[in-house]
Amino acid sequence: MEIAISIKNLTVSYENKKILSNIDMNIPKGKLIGIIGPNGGGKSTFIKGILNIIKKKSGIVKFQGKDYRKYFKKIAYIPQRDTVDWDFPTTVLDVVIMGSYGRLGLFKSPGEKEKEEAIKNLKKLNIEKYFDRQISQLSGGEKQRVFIARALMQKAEIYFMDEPFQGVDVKTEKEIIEILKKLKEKGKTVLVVHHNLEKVKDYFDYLIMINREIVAIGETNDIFIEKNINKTFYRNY
Amino acid sequence: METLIANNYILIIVTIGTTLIGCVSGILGTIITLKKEALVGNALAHASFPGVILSFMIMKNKNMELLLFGAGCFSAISLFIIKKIKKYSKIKYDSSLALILSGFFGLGQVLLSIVQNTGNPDQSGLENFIFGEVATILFSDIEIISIISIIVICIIILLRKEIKLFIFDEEFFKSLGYSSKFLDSLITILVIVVIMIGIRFVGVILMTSVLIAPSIAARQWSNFFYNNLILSGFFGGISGLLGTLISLNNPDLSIGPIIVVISSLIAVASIIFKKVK
Amino acid sequence: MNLEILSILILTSFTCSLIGVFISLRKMAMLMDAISHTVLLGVVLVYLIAKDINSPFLIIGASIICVLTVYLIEILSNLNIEKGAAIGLIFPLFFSIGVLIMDRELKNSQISVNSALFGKLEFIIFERFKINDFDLGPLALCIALIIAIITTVFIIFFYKELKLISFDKIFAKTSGVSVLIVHYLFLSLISVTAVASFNVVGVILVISLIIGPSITSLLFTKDLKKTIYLSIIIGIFNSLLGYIVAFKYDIAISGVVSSINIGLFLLALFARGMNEYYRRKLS
Repeated sequence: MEIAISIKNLTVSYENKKILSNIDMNIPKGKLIGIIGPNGGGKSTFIKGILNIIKKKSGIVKFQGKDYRKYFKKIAYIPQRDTVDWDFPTTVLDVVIMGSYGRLGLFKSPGEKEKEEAIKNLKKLNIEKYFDRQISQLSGGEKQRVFIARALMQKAEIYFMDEPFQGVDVKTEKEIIEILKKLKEKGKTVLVVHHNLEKVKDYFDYLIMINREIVAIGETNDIFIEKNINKTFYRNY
Repeated sequence: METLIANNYILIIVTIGTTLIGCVSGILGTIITLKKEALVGNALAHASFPGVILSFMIMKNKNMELLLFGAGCFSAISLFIIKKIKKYSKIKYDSSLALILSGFFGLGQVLLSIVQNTGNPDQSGLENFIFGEVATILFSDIEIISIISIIVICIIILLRKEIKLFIFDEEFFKSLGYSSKFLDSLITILVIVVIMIGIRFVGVILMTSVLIAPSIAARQWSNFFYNNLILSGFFGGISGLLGTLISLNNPDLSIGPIIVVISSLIAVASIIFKKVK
Repeated sequence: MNLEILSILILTSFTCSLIGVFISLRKMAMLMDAISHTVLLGVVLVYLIAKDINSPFLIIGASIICVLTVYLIEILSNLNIEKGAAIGLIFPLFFSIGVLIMDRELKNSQISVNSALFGKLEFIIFERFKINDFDLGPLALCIALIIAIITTVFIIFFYKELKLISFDKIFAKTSGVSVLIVHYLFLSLISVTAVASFNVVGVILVISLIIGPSITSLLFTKDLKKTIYLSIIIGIFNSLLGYIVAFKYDIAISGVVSSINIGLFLLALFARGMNEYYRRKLS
């Protein structure tokens, strides 16, 4: 089993409270991994700590053996939707093209190639007909598709998604999961912070169960059992 | 001998006035800072400037109550506009504050320009509202200002429970049957009133600091709401007191900046002290 | 009507409208206001040392103080002090120190509190830019032109980074865009602009040139490029109109331009509202 991310001794705080302490784990490559746990249990904090979005108190995280700084161009992160300015003067197509900015680097402008890629990605998400809409005009599900299309532009090896199904209609959720499964088939590693217990077995073949500590990590079939579920969701912490 | 007593008497009265202003501004500042509306005071203060000038232009005299009334009106108008901008557009809140602040102040400058062009000798003194000035303040002015300050402080003391709840958890506050609209309007009126009386002392540009700095200082020392109110009143009062004494002894320095430096340094010292602990 | 004054005003307006779009979108309006106030302290301190209002160190020194101000505000934010409160604490402190130094040390010098607040557009043209006794125009015009060019080049070069940072900062960071570099370069740019504009329209009204045109244009466009173009046009229009009115009625230019900026915005807001109202009524 190839390892996508290796984590040693990770400790992350949020607003001066230690949420996770001394985490060790190896996350395998090429899996569709669900990160599940109760609200406030540290799921988002966990991935933000790995991605250096919040400062970690301690820990060494390596992506395929490399430091974050040397690997970040191969990582795509889709945050929870509220981090964005919806009134920004920009269209759907433009937002997707923005996914290529990191790859292009300073001074290079996106061109026809990037535009075509963006349209292709929009088609994958079935929203190419909205390409020239201003983003505030989209529904919750449509907005989420735009962000997934943007992530696809990054041509990453590892994808992180923070609660992608919140506020999203059933049809969109189905289509998104199909795309994530296709990514997995191509050998990409996909980590999804998921906020409820439904569909865990259908969606994810690998799980990380978090509640202020790592309750369990492993193949879904092995660890998604009553004992662990109780410990994750019903224990007082 | 009599002049000495008279001078000291004036000194004491002026100092009492400034101390009260510093105190009530600090207290109100805690309230608006906790409501995350710290910089609204900045916008409302700048916006009051044309009101002062316009009052003078219409009434042709520098009667303090009239000037302050003009100031208050314009502050209220500017707040109305800020709310309308929020309601009818997607323009961000801080942008609208910045627009109001500079636009109204610019309007004030235009009016001042017009007044100065008419050569009316009475108009000297309108400029005092930019940085504040106490040396030529009248005893009757201090009287009015002190009474208003005390009334505001009393209102806040009377309603401290409600204010605390309102700021902390508006939903719960409403669920108890209170009207959040009423309290919000009341607080707004208090802010406008305090700005009205404060700008004579520290000027429109620096009014925001007199509201904010004492509350930042107080916050470093206590996690309790009432203590914050008391401490910010205390810090504000001391800044006013010391500022006046220093200003009266150094007539070349404007009083507004002095008060601001004192209260800001108190705040900075409090922050450093808390970090070091 | 003095063409030189007008040119300086329009160039300054151009630069401010240009950076104004990004400042509005990044919610940096009040921060920019703080920067323009702190310029006073920077100018005063450098002037105390250099004794020459036209020293090139003035721009550099004052800009450094501005960036320092932003840095201090960020430090305070990290100490859990709310951003608005941090801004409201720092800039009045620095501004007041500047005013007090002016009151005490610089009573009869080339800078006065009045010109610091309202600008000295009317007098600034008397400082000329001379090479070998050949008069190339007012110094302020040359400076305004240089800054306008630098700003345009910067915006063009870093357009996509600025766009992404303004739209979705977290994504920008995680997708490999050099957020830190662009951010600090942008801060330096707006500080330099603030210092140069300080001379033209004074402290209080720089922010009006920056915010007014950009938020007016944001009422009408949904495209970033169009917003920028429209903002520039509105900015130049406001300044032109302001200058004409100020000249005709002999009123301070900075006040008039600032009033027109807010006036035009409110007019545009009202017109747009009326337009929507009637459109709904008719449909």
